[in-house]
Amino acid sequence: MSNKARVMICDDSLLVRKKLRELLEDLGCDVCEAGNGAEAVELYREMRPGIVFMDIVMPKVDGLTALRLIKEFDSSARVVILSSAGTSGKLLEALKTGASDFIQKPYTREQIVKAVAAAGCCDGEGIC
Amino acid sequence: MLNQYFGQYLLNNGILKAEQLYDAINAEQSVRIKIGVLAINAGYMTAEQVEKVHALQYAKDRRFGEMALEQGYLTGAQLDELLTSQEQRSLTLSQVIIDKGYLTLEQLEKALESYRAEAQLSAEQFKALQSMDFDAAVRILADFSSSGTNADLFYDYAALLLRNIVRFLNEIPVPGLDSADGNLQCDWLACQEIRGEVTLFTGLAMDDDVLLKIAQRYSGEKLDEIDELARDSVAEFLNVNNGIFCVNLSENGLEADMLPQETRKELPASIKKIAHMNIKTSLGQFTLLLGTP
Repeated sequence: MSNKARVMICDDSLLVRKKLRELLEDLGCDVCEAGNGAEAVELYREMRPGIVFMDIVMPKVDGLTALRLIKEFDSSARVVILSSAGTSGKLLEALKTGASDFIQKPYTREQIVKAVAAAGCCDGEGIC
Repeated sequence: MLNQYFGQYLLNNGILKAEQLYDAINAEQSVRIKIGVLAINAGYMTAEQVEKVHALQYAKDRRFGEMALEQGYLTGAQLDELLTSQEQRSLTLSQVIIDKGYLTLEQLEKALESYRAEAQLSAEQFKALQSMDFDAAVRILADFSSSGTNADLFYDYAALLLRNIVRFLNEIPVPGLDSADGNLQCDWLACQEIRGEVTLFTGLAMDDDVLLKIAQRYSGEKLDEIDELARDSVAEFLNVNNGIFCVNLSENGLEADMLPQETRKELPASIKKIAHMNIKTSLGQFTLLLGTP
């Protein structure tokens, strides 16, 4: 059993998953991936990650629906929305559903480090 | 643009809690922005100067603008500009945050300063991008006049795309008229639909070689063949551009959502009428397609 902080990425973009995985692994996190909201809900139940980075616009089940289902399963789940869809309507809906943070793409390394640190998964310098 | 991104910045940095931001966004529509907050947002006055004018207002029943002029904190031109801005609703989040007591004027000023310092585009870069004036360029070098009532929307979209080609692909794009007669000939089409109060089909059509070059530039990855990662990189560039477009629409009171982006070989059958604009870059030429489903 690894002691590394477990982080889940849910995004339908292979590029986003690859780049974010590289960054999070560089921070020392143990990373798991889902390609849509349905996979994310299933994987969350199995892996119980300390933090989830969740896209909104995805095929099958979108990120806000997946957020709601994850929060129903685990009200303490820490889900950070990471999406290009950064309108105030989407931000409001995400906060109402229980998102702990909202990052609009393109993200920066610093934003990700801060989000992981806020979840208690690493320190502010990015050391997990 | 400030409202949307500044709210996220306050959340990302733990300056506001999620429930405070939710509360503030909910309340913002009913708020009229005060000149003092606008003056801080514009960088014309410090929080200390605004507090001083507020204190003077208690003693004399006069308007904030008049007092600020009298104290020499604002020029007439600056006050006119602020009064015009007051009629727009783009900065109301700051006002709500102050009214609800989530931050003091001083804390807001500090948060705005650090937000600007950390914003991805520095003020100089942003100014340089604006100075390229793609809004004027697309109206001269492209022609969406046959798109009727959608023409202005198409010009705005095209100008934003050109700015994002500079920003994300580090290329200077040259827009041009398309000679195609409506029959799209290309190897690949990265596309995405926007639906809501604005409905729009967006696509970037290109050949194999250009797709690979754009994918490499955007992703920073070494790509030797057109695989899923290469296709996805171009589609993600379009997705990020469309996200910014939707934020701009939202700032103007129009809500729209995006459908998942994709790459395909030909136009979806549901898209009937398409407008074209060619874009030349050092990576090769590709075509912007805009239409309504």
